[in-house]
Amino acid sequence: MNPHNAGRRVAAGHALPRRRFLQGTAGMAAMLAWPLGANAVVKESHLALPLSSSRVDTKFELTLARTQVNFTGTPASAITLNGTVPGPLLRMHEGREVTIALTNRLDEVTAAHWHGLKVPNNMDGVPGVTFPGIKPGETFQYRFDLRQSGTYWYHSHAILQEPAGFYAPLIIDPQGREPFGYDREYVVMLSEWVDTPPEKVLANLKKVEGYYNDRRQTLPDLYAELKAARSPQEREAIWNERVAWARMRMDPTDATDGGSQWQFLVHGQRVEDNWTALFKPGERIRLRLINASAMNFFDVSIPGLDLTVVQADGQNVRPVKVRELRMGNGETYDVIVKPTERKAYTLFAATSGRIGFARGTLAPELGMEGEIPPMGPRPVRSLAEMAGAHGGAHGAAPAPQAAAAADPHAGHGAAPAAPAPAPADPHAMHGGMKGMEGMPMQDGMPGMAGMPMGGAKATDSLADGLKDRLAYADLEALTPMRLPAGPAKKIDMRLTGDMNRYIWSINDKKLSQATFFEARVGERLEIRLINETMMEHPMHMHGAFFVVDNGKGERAPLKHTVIVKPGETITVHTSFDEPGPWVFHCHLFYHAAAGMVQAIVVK
Amino acid sequence: MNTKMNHRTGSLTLALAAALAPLAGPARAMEDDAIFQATRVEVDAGRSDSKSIAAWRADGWIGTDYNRFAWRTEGTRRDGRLEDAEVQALYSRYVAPFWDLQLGLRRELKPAARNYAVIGMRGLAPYAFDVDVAAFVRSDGRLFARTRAEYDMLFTNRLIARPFVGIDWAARSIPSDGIKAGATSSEWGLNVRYEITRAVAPYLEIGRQWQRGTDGGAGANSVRAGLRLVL
Repeated sequence: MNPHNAGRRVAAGHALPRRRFLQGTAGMAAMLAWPLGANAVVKESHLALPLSSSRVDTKFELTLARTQVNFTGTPASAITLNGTVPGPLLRMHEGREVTIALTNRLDEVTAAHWHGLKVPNNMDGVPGVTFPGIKPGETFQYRFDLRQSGTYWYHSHAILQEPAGFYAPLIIDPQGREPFGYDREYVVMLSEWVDTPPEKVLANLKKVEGYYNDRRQTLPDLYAELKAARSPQEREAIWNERVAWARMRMDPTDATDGGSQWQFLVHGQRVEDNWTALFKPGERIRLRLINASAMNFFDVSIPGLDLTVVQADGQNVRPVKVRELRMGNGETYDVIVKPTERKAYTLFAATSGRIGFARGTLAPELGMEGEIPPMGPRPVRSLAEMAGAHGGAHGAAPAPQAAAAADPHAGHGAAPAAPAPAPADPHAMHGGMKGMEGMPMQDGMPGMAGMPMGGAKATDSLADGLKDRLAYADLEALTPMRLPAGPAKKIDMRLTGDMNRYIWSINDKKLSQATFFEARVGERLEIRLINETMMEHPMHMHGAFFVVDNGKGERAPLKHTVIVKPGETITVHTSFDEPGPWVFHCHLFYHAAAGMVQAIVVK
Repeated sequence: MNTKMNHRTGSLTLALAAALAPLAGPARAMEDDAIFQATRVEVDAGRSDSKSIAAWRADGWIGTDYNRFAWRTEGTRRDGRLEDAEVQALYSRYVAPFWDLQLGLRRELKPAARNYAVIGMRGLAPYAFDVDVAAFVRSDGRLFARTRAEYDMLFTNRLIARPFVGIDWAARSIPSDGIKAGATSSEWGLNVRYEITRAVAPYLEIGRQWQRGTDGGAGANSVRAGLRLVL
């Protein structure tokens, strides 16, 4: 069932990469936990399998089924690929053609999407857009050539199946040599689990605003803040901020949609399971980080070790050393770490909303664990952040955003006189930021900033070129993407929504009401992502990579997923090689399920 | 999945919603226009001016993001007798961020069986006040109105105090019914609930009800304990 094999790696027909193979041992094989029957706990071993033990292949078989799992002490139902959560690693080689047979043993339509892969449109796996989907009982043969290399993943594009367990890593070995060396590599797939079925989670989010938010600001909180204020001006600022949020009818603690029922996993292992990756001191370890979570960003760090980022979204970047990096849903980062001491290091992945964390251990032997750092306080948004005042990667000047955000709403308010049958009417009215017109933008209010929500500040270098936190502005492509010459077709995608009703949309239209954009094969596109909401959105594009306008000019990085912060505008450039409808959506799965999906139909 | 606008009329959606009520819930593959629902029920009992009092208040909706069937019912038993009871069935349409326009029917069962047409607005006003205003046209042409506002104050994330005020109005005096133009009755008070979960919350409510009669007005205080369910 599991394509991993302990033992020597088969490297067929090309120069051996410079890494030492981990010799499989009988002891390691004995530690693998295999499914033992219908009610078995279906997780892999706590011991991370080094990738040298995985086989490169061109033919894969996947079976999708419902399996009972137990992450919380209560049995729950998960969707598994070949019996495991996450599903099996698919390891491939650039330049080859692969065939993946997916058999659907669920009682609903499904589809696998190859996140970040450039494949023909009918292999992209978006039910209802690129193909009808895979019906219950059917087996679908995906077949495509691999035209890229790097760390990727695959998951269901029947939106509410992914949170139930349908996700797994996918690695494509390069044809040439990689521009960095390492001795050992591991896949670190971060995800989340909640026993509540995804359909019920969405139903609850629709029922009550902020259904799962159990850390709202209370009156005693306000009293304590006012009491701790050091001056009447500070008190006034605190009060004004609270009043401003109330006037907007928004909640500054509503940064992410989950709550304390969620668990966070490293390759299906909970904090208490202690996923462990072994190393020998002095080795360089490549960690292929993947954020496969449905609704959470992770701030990843390994206290005591610097992370040298060498790839972003599978693409080589000029190495940049950071202490911590934030991963949006769907993003991947490959980092090299070099533990020199013979001790356990904690791989710490705190969710950006600080509702929980995932944890793994890098250690010289099994059974060790490092100290778990504190998660930090719950972040509270400030009005200043909403104006997109932070640095980061964006071409457009942030300051006018507050005013610009007000403009689209100028047309709102009056219910159109059109009669009820025209469904277009309400869609112009997602007034998430409506109350912000005329709001004075206050900077740096003391005592209110709490945890900075901005994903990545424009980073200053600490000693030795080490940056505190990775920002898009720090990424430089090693192989720039050559975009076609000529004038670019401009596309604006405003990220909009009505949090009160849990409606999420692009340009005020949910997928079911949207008119898709059009483009031609080879046409240069300039897409502006304008976030008019108060949440961060990881926007993902199918079918091509895009160049993120981060100030690096010709060396701007290639990505397939980019986080857009509240009030921020990020400009990306791309062009499509393949025709067909390519979806572009928020990779927060419940946002996508609520409508935050668009598409570019390429002819 | 189509790239064109969905053309569904409000009434068709209404019929669809009613027909599909038992299937409400799961959204499918790429379907973002699924039918959801919310139901809120509050039932309590206590004492008012040395008489026993019991009451229920329930409301809910079922439908898509923009078009919903909304319903509500409320009633009071005083001293063992059903004093008032009513039911409303409404078409609720999203007309602006935070606001729904509601149109439909109201049937009063007690104190007398009466029918009304309803038009109203329900939503969240700036500063997070829950507001509900409605105008009623009775079957005999008389015009009434009702205004209600509530506000959630968090003492903790689970202990929530909700001050409320509601006023019933009449457009014209109806001497035969003993109704004077203007405010005909009002109710205000404080409801404090403890959310064991979002779905289950016991509460304590103290309030004052005031009824205007031909000779002035009569007020009564009440203290009640009850259970709130959100389903």
